[in-house]
Amino acid sequence: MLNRIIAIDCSPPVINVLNDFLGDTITLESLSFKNIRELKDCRMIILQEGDEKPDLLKQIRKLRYACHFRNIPIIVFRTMENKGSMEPFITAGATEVISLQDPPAAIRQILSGHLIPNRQPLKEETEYIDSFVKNTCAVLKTVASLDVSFEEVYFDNDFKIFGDVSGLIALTGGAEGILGITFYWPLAQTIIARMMGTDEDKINAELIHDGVAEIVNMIGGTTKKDFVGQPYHFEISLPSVIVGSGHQLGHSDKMPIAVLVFRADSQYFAVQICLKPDPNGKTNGK
Amino acid sequence: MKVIIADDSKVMRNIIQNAMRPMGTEIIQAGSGQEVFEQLEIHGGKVGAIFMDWNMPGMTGLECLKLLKKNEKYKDIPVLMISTESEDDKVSIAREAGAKGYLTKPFTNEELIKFINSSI
Amino acid sequence: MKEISDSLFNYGYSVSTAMDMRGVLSSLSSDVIELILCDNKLSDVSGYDLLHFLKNDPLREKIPFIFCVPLHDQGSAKKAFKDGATDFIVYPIEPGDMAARIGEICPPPKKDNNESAPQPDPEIDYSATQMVKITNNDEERRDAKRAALLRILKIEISRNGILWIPGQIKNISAKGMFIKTSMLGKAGVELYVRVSLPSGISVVKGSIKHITFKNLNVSEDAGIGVEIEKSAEWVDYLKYIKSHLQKGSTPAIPQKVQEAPQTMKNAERTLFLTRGNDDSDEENNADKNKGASLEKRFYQSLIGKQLNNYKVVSFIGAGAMGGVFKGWDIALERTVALKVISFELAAQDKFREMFIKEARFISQLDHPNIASIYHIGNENQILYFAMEYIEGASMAELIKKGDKLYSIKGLDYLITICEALDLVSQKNIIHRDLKPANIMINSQDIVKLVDFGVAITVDVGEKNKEGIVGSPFYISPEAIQGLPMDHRSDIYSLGASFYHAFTGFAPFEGDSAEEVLLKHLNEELTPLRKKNPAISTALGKVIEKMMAKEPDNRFQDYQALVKLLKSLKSKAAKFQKIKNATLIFRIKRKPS
Repeated sequence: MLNRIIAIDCSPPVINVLNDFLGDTITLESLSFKNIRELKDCRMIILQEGDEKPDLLKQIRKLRYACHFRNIPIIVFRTMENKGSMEPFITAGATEVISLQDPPAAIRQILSGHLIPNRQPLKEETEYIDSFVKNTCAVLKTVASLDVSFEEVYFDNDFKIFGDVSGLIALTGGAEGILGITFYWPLAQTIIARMMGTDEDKINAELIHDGVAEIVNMIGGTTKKDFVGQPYHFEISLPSVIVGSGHQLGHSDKMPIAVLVFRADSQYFAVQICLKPDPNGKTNGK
Repeated sequence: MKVIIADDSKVMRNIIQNAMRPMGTEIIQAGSGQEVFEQLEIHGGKVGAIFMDWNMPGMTGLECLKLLKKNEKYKDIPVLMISTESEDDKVSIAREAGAKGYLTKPFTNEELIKFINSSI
Repeated sequence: MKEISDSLFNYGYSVSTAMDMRGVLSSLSSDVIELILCDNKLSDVSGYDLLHFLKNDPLREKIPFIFCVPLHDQGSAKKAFKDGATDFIVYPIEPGDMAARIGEICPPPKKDNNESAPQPDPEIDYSATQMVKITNNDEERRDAKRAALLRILKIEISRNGILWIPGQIKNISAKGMFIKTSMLGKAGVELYVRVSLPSGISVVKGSIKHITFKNLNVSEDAGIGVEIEKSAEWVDYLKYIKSHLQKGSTPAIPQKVQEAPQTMKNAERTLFLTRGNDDSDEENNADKNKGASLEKRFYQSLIGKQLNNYKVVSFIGAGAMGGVFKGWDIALERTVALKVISFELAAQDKFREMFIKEARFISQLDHPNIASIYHIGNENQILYFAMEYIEGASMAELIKKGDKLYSIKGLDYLITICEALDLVSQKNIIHRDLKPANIMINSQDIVKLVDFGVAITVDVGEKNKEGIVGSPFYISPEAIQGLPMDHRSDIYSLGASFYHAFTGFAPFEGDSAEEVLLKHLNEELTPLRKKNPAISTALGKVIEKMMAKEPDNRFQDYQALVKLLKSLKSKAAKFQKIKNATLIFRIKRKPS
């Protein structure tokens, strides 16, 4: 059980509020940013906005990166009301921005909500998730001789992209949804170089865009074959590429999004899937 | 011998091109179905084989294949599909349309070389 | 022709040329044309024919039309003016004179001397050959005009119409635009561009022409050149941008897609107005909005979590007392609906009690047409209960879809709910929030009553302390006035709900919740037949009686109501058998 909450450079009022809300079951660790060693057992990260913290956005970005695509909530506390939009924090990677002026009940509920443990996939979700896991590993092994291991899955409400480059593909036909893969530049560069059998320094931005699109295309293509004759069978469209971090994309039908975290050596990447089975359960293979 | 590699992905075109380099074939790259026809025009149809992706913007590889087979000048050029479309019925659709070979992505370099050698 | 167009170009005009009427029309549909110069003979029709055609086109009749004819073959100036020509020029003519005559009708663009940087030409003709650079370096100008302009140039792009990524127009022409964005793709792929117009949001279709890549670490400069398909929306948008550039003032632009006016949305929602707190000034509203957003964020934090034995799968919606989720019971392995109390209410003991009370109420109501409750729980201070999950649609959704509920089936729904509510009233419980959204119809076509969130027992009596409770469209007059309520208040709300279902219109409509509430108190109900002639007078009368302003004038209990409805149903069924027609209640007598 992960019961560690890290409060980074937080002032006593914020610490007090947190202690009040969190009770005894959870360890609150107060740290300064430069002393953070690892986030491994961390269940939540708390930061505080302040005039003397020009680097806060940068810190959020670094922390989000260090989370390796895991679902660790980063909560920013604002001590002053109406200091502008919360959007920059969210874009940088914060999960939630709370003001000390917000109703205490709201603060407590939102913190509690984020502290509730993640659920495991439902049986019907496992059916498709397993296939995507298997094929993601297989595709990267085949084209880039890269050994990839599946780390964990969690579910989110929105399609959030925190990474440098993402390949996105719409799933249509019988089952409908979206498939996305998100990398940071270094891993993307390594994979594309291995695919092309060339040195990493020969891989430019254009090739990375192109290659990431091709990877998501191959994962989608091989996975749909597994679903022939099942309600999860889909067709793929041409991929899009999204550059940059901090995109939150809306999506349809209130379907939860499965976020699969993978590891390749010491680097991580994420595959996101939102898949709504064909209501008629027919296969779409023509 | 000249071959055309038609794929909208530059990475993929380069992978196939690299695999063929030792064979001494001249390689012409095309990024879409339309470009295949343009390149055929330029080279007077003297092309030994066409490696064709399925999902491309504009004219798809399958549409391009069907047009080639209808075209008196080009209908005898062997077309080899290389695609992520991997279901059996997709493969048969391509075969029926006249594809001489079919390789599904992803593939290892060895698989690719084997496929190329067996088809041309 | 080239001479004329070159000289006009030197005077600052952009010029499109065409040889025939077809060319003119295609130019008109793709470019913003401010003036037409025309010879009396085109390669397909005469200049007079074109003039006549354009002056009869309501969209184009206002474009000034100037005849420009050779000296040796002038034709009839009289006829031209009669047909609506603005001027009649005979050439050869000095370029300066020509420009002066045209300038009188349509002045050339002025150069703005205050601006040092190359300025977007305010008089741009978005001709296909000319690409207009709209944004320069961001540092160059930061005044209000620029800010407004940048806002208007914000757009969204999407591949599938579901995921939308923001973008900013850098260049625009009649053919398309260059968009700075994070969403790239491949040349040739199709995409949609969502643009803001004063009249609302428009979507135009296009395809990627080229992609600009920059350094690995600088994503800011990436973008796509998009060719846009010609459409009326696109022409409107070009016009809008052009007019905006000319005015240079801050336009009123819709910032976001407005799904429905906010007030109406509120009217559909259940109100929790506190009595004696009428000074709902802006600050209060801002607080309320903020509360709603915190609430939403709280619900979002629960997605993908597990509350004790229940996996939270997806969010269904926010009800009067809390958020409703689709969940999965891992012990009993079945789908459930999870209702989580809102934080605002959770903080107050009164509401926590109310929430638990709701659960108790429902557990007392063992009826096939009332969604049953399975479990009440508390995890990490989050109070929730698990209840029957109904796979189907609410009556509100059916109404929205335009389903014809004025059918025997619709009547059946009403009868079934009356029977269920009979049990509710026998337990001395009032639902207090009957509305189409709380009447679910599952996949087996079984009606289920849900959301007893604000239900009370009659013996609570007196003036209820929470103030107004209910949904403005369906609330009873006594609830609005804060008078004692009993099951007859539910009868009113049920009547109002089926008024909506049978006619497609809420009984009273208005721009604000307050207006609707006042109408419930004072305005006479429009007979159902007037809103939907397919409804029989007899059925109309039943609903109208259910909705009598005075509780004493309504049906006094459900049994009498059910009896009457059943007899109506058997009549309608008989009629349907004879006529073998669609389900119409109204029985037309054949003239004897």
